[in-house]
Amino acid sequence: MATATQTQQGFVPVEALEKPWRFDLFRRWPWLKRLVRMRSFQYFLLLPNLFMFYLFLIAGLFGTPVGSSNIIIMYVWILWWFVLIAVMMPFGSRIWCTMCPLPFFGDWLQRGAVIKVRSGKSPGTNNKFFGLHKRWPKKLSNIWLQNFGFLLLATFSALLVTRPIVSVIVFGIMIVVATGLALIYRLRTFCNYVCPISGFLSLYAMTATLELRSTDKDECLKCTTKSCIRGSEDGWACPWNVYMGKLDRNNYCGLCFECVKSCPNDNISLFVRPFATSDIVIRGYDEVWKASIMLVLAFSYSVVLLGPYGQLKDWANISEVGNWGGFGLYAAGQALLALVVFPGLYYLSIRLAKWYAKIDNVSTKELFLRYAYMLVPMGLLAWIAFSVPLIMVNGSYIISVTSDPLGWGMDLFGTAHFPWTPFWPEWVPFIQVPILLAGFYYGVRGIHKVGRQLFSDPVQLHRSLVPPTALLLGVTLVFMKLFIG
Amino acid sequence: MSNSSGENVRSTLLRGIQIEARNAKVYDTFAQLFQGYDDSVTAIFCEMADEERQHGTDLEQRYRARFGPVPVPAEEPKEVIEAPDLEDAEALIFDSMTLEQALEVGLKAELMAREFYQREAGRISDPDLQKLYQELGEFEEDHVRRLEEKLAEKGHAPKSTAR
Ligand code: SF4
Ligand code: SF4
Ligand code: SF4
Repeated sequence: MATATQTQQGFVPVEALEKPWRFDLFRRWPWLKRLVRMRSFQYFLLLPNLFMFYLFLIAGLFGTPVGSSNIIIMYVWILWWFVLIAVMMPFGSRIWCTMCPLPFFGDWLQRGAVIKVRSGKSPGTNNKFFGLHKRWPKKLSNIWLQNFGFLLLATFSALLVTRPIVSVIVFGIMIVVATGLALIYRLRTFCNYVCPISGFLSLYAMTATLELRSTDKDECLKCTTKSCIRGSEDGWACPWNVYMGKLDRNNYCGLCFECVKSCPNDNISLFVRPFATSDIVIRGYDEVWKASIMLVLAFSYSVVLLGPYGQLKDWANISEVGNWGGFGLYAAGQALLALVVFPGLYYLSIRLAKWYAKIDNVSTKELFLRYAYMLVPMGLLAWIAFSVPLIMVNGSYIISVTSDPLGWGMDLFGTAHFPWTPFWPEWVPFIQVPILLAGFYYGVRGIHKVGRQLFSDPVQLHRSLVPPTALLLGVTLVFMKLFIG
Repeated sequence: MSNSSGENVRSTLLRGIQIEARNAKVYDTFAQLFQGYDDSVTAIFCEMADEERQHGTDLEQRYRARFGPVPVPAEEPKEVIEAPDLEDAEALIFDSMTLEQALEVGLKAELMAREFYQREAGRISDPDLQKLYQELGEFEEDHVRRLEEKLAEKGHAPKSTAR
């Protein structure tokens, strides 16, 4: 039986969603709001990052080709990755995007300014933008490009994480494409539709304990300017094209804080909230497939890097072994698993749920999309669990490479000869298991909440949860087997 | 008609005028926001802005006939009655705003307004004010009907958050 707030196709209005507690950081610490409202705020974070990034690229170009001795590999693919996935994503949403150097040059050329705002009438906005300011094709207005881009990068990850020059080329291409797109299309087209990192940032930002939201929705209703999205003389139009007045999930808010500056009603605040309990609505197949790709990649990396399958390791390791036939098999298998097999299993679980719970008032599509939320916390926590041994076992390379960033035999801080030392490797499984169990718990809890909005009959609700929960349990057990043997 | 009743009618009319003016601005903003996307969406928001201005003009005429010149409001109206708003924060990202959804934005606001005026008409005992609320309710009823007709012409289907 459908609930009162549900229309024929299972649409649940934003206002009707049950909200957990949240804590208003701007109200608690007004200095934080003052800081964020400063025009230069984002650049305090971004410019040092840009400088570091530039140094990494130099190291990648001119430093040693040995990955474990080059700072670009150790800092980007071990330290940055771990901090991004295990700290920034769960606690800071898309805070990485606040300081990301990749779109900097595009923004600069598009705005004709680094810090100041320019009022004007570029279509859709209250700001003056340079470039062609075209509309991105409607058919590509989704995250499919990001999905395929990330899968492609991940498939060639062995090259990426061992050959510094490959990282330089990939980042170089990303900067050029981001800049080119900013000159042709509106706002952050690269971030919205192309950046391969963005896809998983958007998905996993749903779980984050941080959100930027309007404080009073009624104020937004009465607001005639909608400056948060259109910009004003105090802030640029939302680079991500998000309307703060109705924003209800973190996915596409890049935390640039322009809206905080441009809202004339001082109606936007930063909130702390519980983990993985607020944004539970998956809205498109592209997002479901993103969740599947991420989960399968976590599985595939775990099998290749942590598992005992030497043959598979050789196939995946195209950079050193060079077995292109084996690599083709590995790449095709991985793609098949991510794009067909796992989504197929999930679809099956939804069909079973519909049959077992005798659901005829919620379409298969709606249930398929809505219950896919369970893959979000599970995926993030599986990635965190996978990344734990990376930092604990290989983290010591970071210490040595800091003193000798180019692998030229320098010893800047006296740590260049710090030996490879795994940190408490015996503890790794004891850390991984609770993380995986937390993923399972939050996944089930999430779909239970979604289900409560769809079904008012508790028997129907619980029956509808059984098949997807069984699938999620299976996923958890497979990861456990991989991690603890 | 007592003085207080006259004052109530005056302030209700004035509030109606202000709300129509505010809503016209909101529709103008939406029309500008969707510039360069679906032209039919921009056009319908412009049309709704014009209609709101027309409602405002009608109410102003009534106000002038009874109370003289319409005062310039000191601030935007506080009420959220009939305030139109986008349903989807990500409509521009996914380029998903359709003509039907734009019409629904207007319809939702008009339905809210109609409900409000009808409720007030039922609640209030002052006959003069009650009559005004009834008239305002009929006014909105007319807009609701027009928007529903337009939606029906487009073969409108119920909305879903799914893309
Ligand atoms: S979406 Fe990608 S390019 Fe854009 S800010 Fe985020 S990480 Fe950087
Ligand atoms: S500008 Fe401020 S008040 Fe207006 S819609 Fe945006 S967040 Fe709400
Ligand atoms: S809603 Fe837009 S302007 Fe506001 S922080 Fe997010 S991306 Fe920036």
